[in-house]
Amino acid sequence: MKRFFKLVALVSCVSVASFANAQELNVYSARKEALIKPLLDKFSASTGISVNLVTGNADALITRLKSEGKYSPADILITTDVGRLYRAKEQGLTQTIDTTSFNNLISQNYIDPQGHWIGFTLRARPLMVAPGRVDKTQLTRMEDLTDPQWRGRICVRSSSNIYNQSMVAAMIEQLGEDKTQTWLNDFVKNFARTPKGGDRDQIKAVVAGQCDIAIANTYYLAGMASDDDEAIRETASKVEVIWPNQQDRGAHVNISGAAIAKYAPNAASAQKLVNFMLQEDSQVWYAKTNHEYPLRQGVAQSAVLTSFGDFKSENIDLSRVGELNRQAVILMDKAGWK
Amino acid sequence: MLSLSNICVAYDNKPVVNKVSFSIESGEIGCLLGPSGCGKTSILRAIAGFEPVSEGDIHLRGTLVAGADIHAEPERRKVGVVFQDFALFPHLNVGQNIAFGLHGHSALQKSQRVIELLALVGLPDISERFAHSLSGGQQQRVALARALAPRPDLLLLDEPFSSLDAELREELAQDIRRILKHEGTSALLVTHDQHEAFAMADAIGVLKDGQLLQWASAYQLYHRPADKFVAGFIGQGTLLPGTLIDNSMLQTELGLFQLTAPQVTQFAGAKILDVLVRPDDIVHDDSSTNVAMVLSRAFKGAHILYELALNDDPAFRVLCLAPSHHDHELGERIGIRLDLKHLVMFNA
Amino acid sequence: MKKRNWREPWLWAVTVFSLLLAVPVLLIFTSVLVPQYELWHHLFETVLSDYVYHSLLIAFSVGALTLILGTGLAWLVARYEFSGRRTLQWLILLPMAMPAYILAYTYTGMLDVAGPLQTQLRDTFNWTYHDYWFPDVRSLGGAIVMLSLVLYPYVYMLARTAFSEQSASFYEASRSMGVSGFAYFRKVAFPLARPAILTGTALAMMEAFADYGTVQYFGISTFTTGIFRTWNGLGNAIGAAQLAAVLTSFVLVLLLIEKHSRRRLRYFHQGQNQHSAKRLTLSPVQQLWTVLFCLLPVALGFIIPSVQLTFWAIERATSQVDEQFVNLIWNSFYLAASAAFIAVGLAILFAYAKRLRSHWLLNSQVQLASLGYAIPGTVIAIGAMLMLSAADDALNQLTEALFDTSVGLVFSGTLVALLLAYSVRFLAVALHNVEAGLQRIKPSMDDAARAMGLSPFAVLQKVHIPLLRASVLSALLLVFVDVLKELPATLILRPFNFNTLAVRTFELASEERLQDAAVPAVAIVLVGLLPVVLLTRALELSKNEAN
Repeated sequence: MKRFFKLVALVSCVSVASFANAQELNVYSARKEALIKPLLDKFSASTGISVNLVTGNADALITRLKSEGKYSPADILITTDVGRLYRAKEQGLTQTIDTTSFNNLISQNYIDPQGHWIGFTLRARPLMVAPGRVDKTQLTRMEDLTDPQWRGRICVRSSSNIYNQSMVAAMIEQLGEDKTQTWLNDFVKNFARTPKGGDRDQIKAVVAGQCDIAIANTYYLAGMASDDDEAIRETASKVEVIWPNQQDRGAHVNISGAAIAKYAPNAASAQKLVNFMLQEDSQVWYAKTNHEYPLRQGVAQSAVLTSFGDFKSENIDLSRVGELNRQAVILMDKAGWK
Repeated sequence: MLSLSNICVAYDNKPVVNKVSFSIESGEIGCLLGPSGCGKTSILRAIAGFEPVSEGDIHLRGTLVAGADIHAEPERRKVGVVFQDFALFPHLNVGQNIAFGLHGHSALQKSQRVIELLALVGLPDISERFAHSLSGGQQQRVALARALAPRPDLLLLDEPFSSLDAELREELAQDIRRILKHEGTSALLVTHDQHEAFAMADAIGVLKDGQLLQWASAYQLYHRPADKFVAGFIGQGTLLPGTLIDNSMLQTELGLFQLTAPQVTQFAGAKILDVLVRPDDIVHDDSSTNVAMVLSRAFKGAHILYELALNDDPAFRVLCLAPSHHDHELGERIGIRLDLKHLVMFNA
Repeated sequence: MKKRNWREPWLWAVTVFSLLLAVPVLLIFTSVLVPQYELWHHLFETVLSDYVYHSLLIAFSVGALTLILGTGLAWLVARYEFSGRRTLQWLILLPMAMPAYILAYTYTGMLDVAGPLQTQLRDTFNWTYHDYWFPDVRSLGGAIVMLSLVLYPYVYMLARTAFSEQSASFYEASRSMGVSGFAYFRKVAFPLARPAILTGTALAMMEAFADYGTVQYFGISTFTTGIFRTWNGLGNAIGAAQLAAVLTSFVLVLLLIEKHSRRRLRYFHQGQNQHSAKRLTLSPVQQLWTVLFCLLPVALGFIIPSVQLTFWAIERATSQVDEQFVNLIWNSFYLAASAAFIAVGLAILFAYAKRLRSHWLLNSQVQLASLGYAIPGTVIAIGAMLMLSAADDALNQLTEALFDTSVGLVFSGTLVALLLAYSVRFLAVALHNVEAGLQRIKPSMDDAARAMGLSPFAVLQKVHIPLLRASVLSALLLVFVDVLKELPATLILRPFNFNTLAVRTFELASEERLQDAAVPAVAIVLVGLLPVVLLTRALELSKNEAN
């Protein structure tokens, strides 16, 4: 018993951080550590602000933010999709970001209308096919995926993944619920297997021959194409990117971005980080390391991404994608997309 | 029914039983008696089939079941065993325990046999109960019933009374004897307590350090022990030294004894012999002129066991079992008379 | 039953602690009070049947498999003599050091459609995907196999102890009545060992119910993934908590069944071990089969994946192993050890309370406190978070009222939160072990010692502690290993700049960087090995002591 209390005391002393230190910044990041830490280190080096990083599942972070309430030490929330940013705002966990300096540098689609979140980089979710087995002329739009000729030939990850949810939410916004539901019902029938694994697994499955078409985020393929392992590079080379809906609405895109926590003890530092992330060299590094499309205009994308081709992206307000996320999940459940 | 010839049993190459032979007739109850470590349990386990014999043979019902080359498994020997800790299965009730060894019987036959056996051991209504709710004596009876259920050729009992209260023992021993005789089952009992042996067995074998010293009835062991150890182990008594005269007469403090012809041959050439004097050989007689001094006394209820010094010399002691109304003090001289029917002598 | 003295302070400690541990779980259950008709209507129409079906199927299949495997292995090791037995008997425990999700990642990496084995097959025989059949690792069956491979040691350990404790005279009595071999196993040995085996199987099933990493990776919808999904995708935290409540009810039923069947079997411990039963010999052919049978689960559950992980790890070692990595190891170790001591300390307190002052109220408090074992780590974490932030709120309000300052977050966001979650989750493990050890100390021993003039404390010191040592040790080690492997709660509750090996493995694997994930995975397995080895030693020692 005594041991217990001693331990508690010891542990509390060790762990309780001092939160109102102006030289600190507390980051809750859904982006994995390896993909964000180097940039945060650069930030620390250039501003002298030391960064404390917590990574985790975005929803877990949001729940944690919520329950921590006004004592939460979090200053900034970084996510890898817009849906969660929207949810954080919806639950009253965010405050406004000063976006005035970016209004001309970033498309308004990628900033929250009320200024509660802002995007850093962009990624797309095109089709990736085995060139020998798929006639590209037959596959120009997402709507084409429901054609019976593709029965048993499509691999896509689970509906519990936020990227698919956002994709469907965008569809609802642009096509309406009924059409989206119909599309979903037929789309699911063409699955080669019950959804499993991540985006890379879908690409690998296409190469292995289990299916011919995959849907995945661009940065996964780009990452595979520039991997140290030759075998992985070879796998990546065996699929080709098809940009859907280029003649009408455009391909689905999503952002990784951030929101400043409502009760942030170091809001000023958080703002500094946002500014930092949208600086040119940060954009270059972030985009390159994560294989994403930089949001800041005028910043070049990586060579690998260029090799996928130019494309037209959807022109919708991403906050709508966030709003419709719940609906999307309901429709996906009804269609039986596991 | 059972016959052992020259069997040896060894553990880890160390012999614990050395050339033991005896046999039990059908319907007879035998007993192996001896102090702990004498090998009696090992013999029992060899007969049951739990241990192999390194030499010699064991025959059951005329069939060879164990020898240097052959070892029949316990499952095949049709030998029932009652264990020291009873080994009643805790997860089965009494009825199921008893029926455990009944194979190929219908459910009806099994339940009939169970009722039969429970009646036999005097516990008619406990078939539904479980072992942990029974007393020690009851558990032992159930263990007996269970061992008897498959009608074995031979029943082995390994120190069956050691975990019971002393008062129960004799009563149970007689009960079990009655049951066995009623069923006509041959049995071999193993114990270190001679009273149990006396109460139960027809023939008793005394063992020491792996050797069988004597196999005989209780009376024979008591009155004609073959060996000093047997004499000391069975019953009580003292050894009185005597001088051999002319190879045919023994001079002792109690008087002169005449040797029989076989005894003359047996002890030819010896000088000093010890005579076994049992408490029942010395009768207390107030009218006798021979007196001896009381060294100690032990009240036994109906009798008092006196330890007496002959001629006031503590080197020559005898025991005397007198009716307890003869109450004498220490140091008193009391009259005694010799009533020795069996002259038992050993080399000094 | 001794008279209760309500003024005894240590009993109040029991009440306080058991309530503390129960609150996270209770909070989950209170969510049921908030009706969510729309959500449940939707769930019912779509995925609920999947959740129920898959969760139950996995749990019961795992239960059956671990029962057969664990009991079979335990029987062979306890009863028969064969070459290699002494080594094999502890080798069999090794899969315990391997978290199920790591097994899942590894086998997927090896055997999946795009993995090296199938690719090699296709290349060698010039097949396409549709030309051959290969079992799909990432399936329901695969998940069942993975979980069974990792969980059978629970059944094995308990069954083995039970078998070796059975009195030799049972076997001999049975033989003398013509029952031996498998018939003996069926009629006597197994029924007698049933309480222990049931406990082990129930433990395995509860773990199976609570698994998240494996089923998530394999894309199987169960209650645990459903909870995440409702919480994430549908944004409905209350609904998620309600699903958690349903899952917990399944487990409660399981627990009740197990307790009920054990009540009747209370008297089985009475066979004193007179002389240890001699092991039976086997023919060389039989020995070969036995050795193979014993090796197979170890090979599948530990050796093969470890070898593969080691290969991957060596490839990536230079890039992954740095100062940060050492920090990772230290954190994991320190956290696991602290949690182990706390959980076992509480377990000892509770076990003694039950033994000395057994009372239905007390017993149900302890029972409530040990429910956490069945709850997924995620859910406990949320419950703990809610509870501790409320505590922080209250604390801050207090300090503001009294001292006009706020102290910020003292409980949530610190190691306290993690340790609370671990205690809730793993108390049952510690309690099972300590109680089992305490059961072996008969009350008559206490009476004898007291009669010889020892105070209650001295009884504890001189009689109980030496006899309990093995159980306490095994409890410590089991909790240590469990905490080391724990994933979801750690993910949610860990404080700033605090990372563990499990979290690292998960992050890397979910980024589909399996080879990189191998480095921390190997570290987990290695560190988790030590307790397994020590556990075996402790079991050996306690067996010898008892003899």
